[in-house]
Amino acid sequence: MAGLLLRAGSWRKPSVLPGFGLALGFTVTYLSLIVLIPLAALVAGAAGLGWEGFLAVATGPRVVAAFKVSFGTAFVAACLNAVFGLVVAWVLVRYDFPGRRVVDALVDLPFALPTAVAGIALTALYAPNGWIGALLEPMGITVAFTPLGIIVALTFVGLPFVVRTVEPVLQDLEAEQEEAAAVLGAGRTRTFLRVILPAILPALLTGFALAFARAVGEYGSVIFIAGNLPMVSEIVPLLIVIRLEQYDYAGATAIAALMLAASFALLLVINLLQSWMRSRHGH
Amino acid sequence: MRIDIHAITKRFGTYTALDGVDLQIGEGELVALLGPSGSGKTTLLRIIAGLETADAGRILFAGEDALRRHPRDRQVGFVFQHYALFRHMTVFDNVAFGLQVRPRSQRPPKADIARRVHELLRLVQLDWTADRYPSQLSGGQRQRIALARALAIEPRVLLLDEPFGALDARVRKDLRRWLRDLHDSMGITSVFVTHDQEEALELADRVVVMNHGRIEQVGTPGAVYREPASAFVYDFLGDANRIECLIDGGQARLAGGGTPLGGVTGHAGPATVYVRPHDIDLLPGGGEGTAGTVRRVYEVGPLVRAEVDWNGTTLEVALPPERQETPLRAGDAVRVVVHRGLVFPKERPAGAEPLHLVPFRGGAVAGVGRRA
Amino acid sequence: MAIDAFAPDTAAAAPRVALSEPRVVRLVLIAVALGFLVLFLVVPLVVVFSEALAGGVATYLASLTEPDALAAIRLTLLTAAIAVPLNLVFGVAAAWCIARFEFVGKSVLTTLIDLPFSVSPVISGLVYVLLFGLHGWLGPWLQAHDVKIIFAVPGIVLATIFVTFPFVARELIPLMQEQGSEEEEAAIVLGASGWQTFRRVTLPKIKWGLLYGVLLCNARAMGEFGAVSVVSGHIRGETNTMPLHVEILYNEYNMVAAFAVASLLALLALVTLVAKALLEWRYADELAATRRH
Repeated sequence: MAGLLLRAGSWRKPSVLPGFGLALGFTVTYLSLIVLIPLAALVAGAAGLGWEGFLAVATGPRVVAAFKVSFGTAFVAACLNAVFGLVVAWVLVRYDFPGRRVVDALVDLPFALPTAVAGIALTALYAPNGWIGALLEPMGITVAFTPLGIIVALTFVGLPFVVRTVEPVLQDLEAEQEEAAAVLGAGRTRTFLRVILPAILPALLTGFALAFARAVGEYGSVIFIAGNLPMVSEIVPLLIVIRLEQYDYAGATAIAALMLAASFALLLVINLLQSWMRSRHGH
Repeated sequence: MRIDIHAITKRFGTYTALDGVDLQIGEGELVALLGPSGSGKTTLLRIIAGLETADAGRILFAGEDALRRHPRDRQVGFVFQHYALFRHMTVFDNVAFGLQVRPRSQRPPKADIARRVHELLRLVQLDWTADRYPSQLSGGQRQRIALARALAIEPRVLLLDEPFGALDARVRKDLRRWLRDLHDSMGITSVFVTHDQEEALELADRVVVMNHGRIEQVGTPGAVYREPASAFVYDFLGDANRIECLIDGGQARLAGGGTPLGGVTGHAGPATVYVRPHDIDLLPGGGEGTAGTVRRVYEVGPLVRAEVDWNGTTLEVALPPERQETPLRAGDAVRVVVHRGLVFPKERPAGAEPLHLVPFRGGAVAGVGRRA
Repeated sequence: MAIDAFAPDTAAAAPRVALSEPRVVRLVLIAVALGFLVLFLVVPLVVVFSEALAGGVATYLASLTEPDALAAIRLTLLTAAIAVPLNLVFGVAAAWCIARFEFVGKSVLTTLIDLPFSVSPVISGLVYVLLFGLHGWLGPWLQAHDVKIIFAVPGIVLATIFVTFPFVARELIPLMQEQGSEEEEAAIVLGASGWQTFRRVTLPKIKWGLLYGVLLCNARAMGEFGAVSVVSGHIRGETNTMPLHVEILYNEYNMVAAFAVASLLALLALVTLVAKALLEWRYADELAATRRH
């Protein structure tokens, strides 16, 4: 009898291990209730607005400005993270210095620190009377309550992504390859540009895309430092909240649907990058 | 326990892993499933254990349908290729596991379990490792613990998947002899999978040679080696030279010309002669039609091997020890004597058996075939 | 001579000669990396504690023990206590079917599980407002039956579950895939039942990976701001979690109190990081390959 039960339908490979039906049933039900149905409600809500209604919201000047601010600042922050993240990953993997382990653990702080805490801390630092703000003020640089402040906050939240995607790839890089390059007469810079950089490029781009995706949707750490001036330093997630507080559900839904579409597009890009990375490195 | 395998077929998608396999394994036998990777040998082993399901066919354990039973109830001892020892349990707990998980009514008392585990650990000569973890053992030790664990449930049949695959050459040889002794003393019907022909020939009572999901030949090690049923079996069981030829009038005419090989019986037509490197002799001085040129000579331990260019065919030759007194050098002209070979016709005669086998005996030059 | 440039940092670790940069380059790179990390990670962390203690220890403690702060702490703990176990059970179930079985639609399922990570937290909250809010799809029905989800605790819990949804699953899936099914198969052949196999073979193998996932899940659950902010309604003492309470105090220019509550959250983050580092260091083999470094 038990043997007969092993013969399942053709949509799955039979296995001697039990619990497939129960585990899959629970997984799919829970996933549907918590994630899929609510997201479907958003998509259905946006569809209910009709194409005209949707466009009217999406092309409003304040919405367009918010998207420009969100994507622009997220892009700059992701670029900063790509450059400095690569340096941090390189230093952590290649060099030994006192406190390396502590530094390595600290890189994950933005994952663990609640965004609201990061937000008020960065604001306190970069406000004109803050530790760093007071230093920058004489130079005529205002960070807090400007798009620059948004970039600072988004650099903070995106910081671990590049480090954590590049680190393992850099670690697995065969030393022999670099030695081969050296034996063939390449200098260190040439070896880096011709041998190392191409090898870590997929990981670097993946980390960049992850940091960018996270930054685009970020809310908590930004709203404190941004100043939230419409058309200048107002990010898309904040605009959604504002529309919601004005009971403008249609507006909130339309903007959110646009954001969701952008997130999915980014997710697709990230998946493609990751499969590229896997084909290169096998992980 | 006797195992009868009837017409077992298994497909993975469009790929046929097993294609109507029939096999009988007798009580107390030690059988090797031998074949290259992808031949279906491991799949067959896993189907016997119940870890894989067959698409069609039957397997009988002592006359009783085994496929209806859950692997849990089949009383099969299975030794995994990479041992699959429970990494977070001590050696003792690993071996005791099969007894500890029995339903309360059938579970032996704690003291009995402990006694049995230590007995088994003594049997595999690793009693002192009881409190260690698998990661603290060497590959060969893990192998033996995996065996002890499989034996703990008093299996009716012992299945081993590439039992020596992950071990280095020395340990492998020692463990091979030891496993043979163990089998002889316990007498459990055992099946093991290997891709190493030497292992299969040395260890097994009978060897099952598999290829592309089918059984090519079943027989004692001596029989499959001496009388291979197909070119594949011949090729797989040892190094082989292939010489293209044409069978005509009891002779094999070589494609590259030269003196035909004599003493061939069977159908006329194009064929391939298979010759083992040690069935070829090289004599000093070339002669008309049998001349060869030594290309390369190299020593492998006690053996001397040579590559000889012979009528356009490169032959691999293993020289017998007595011939090493007059050393060969690259460039030497030699007389090639083929003592023994098997002729496999290229075209199957219509209506005849799938592959017609023509044993070939005789030297290239009459009267020289010393060892034929 | 350039020998000095290749001199190893420590006597113990002799780097491969061809792989080291000149000492100056190394020092500059280390300085850049550390400078960046200090500026973006250490200084903000220090400022949290410094601002929190700016009014002295007594004020600090008073800010933490005032009733609204205590209510926020309680609600945060309650939310995590519901969200984390649910996502833990889900993570194990999802990893079991994805890592142990082959079936059609597996890669789609794997992608869908990660979905909440790519959605803005604000949207994570918004979807529940659209479903359960007064003007939402189920709003009128809920109101008729006197069930409050939005601007109440259930909404906060739901939003938290949403944003922490993938943590345990995405840790366990690669781990269990990497471990393979052989040990489970061995257990079944040895006669173990499904439950015995899971409890005695699978669970001990994944327990550290599980703890790792729970740790990250918990940190996010207690610290989530955006999603919770949308569904909370910000009712002091009732629907304010700790991060929301920080926001309210901050907007009221009550800096010391805001940073005092924030310091508790920062402490939680530090504890999480330490525990995480310990797990990575001590049980590297029992965490998914992607987590080892």
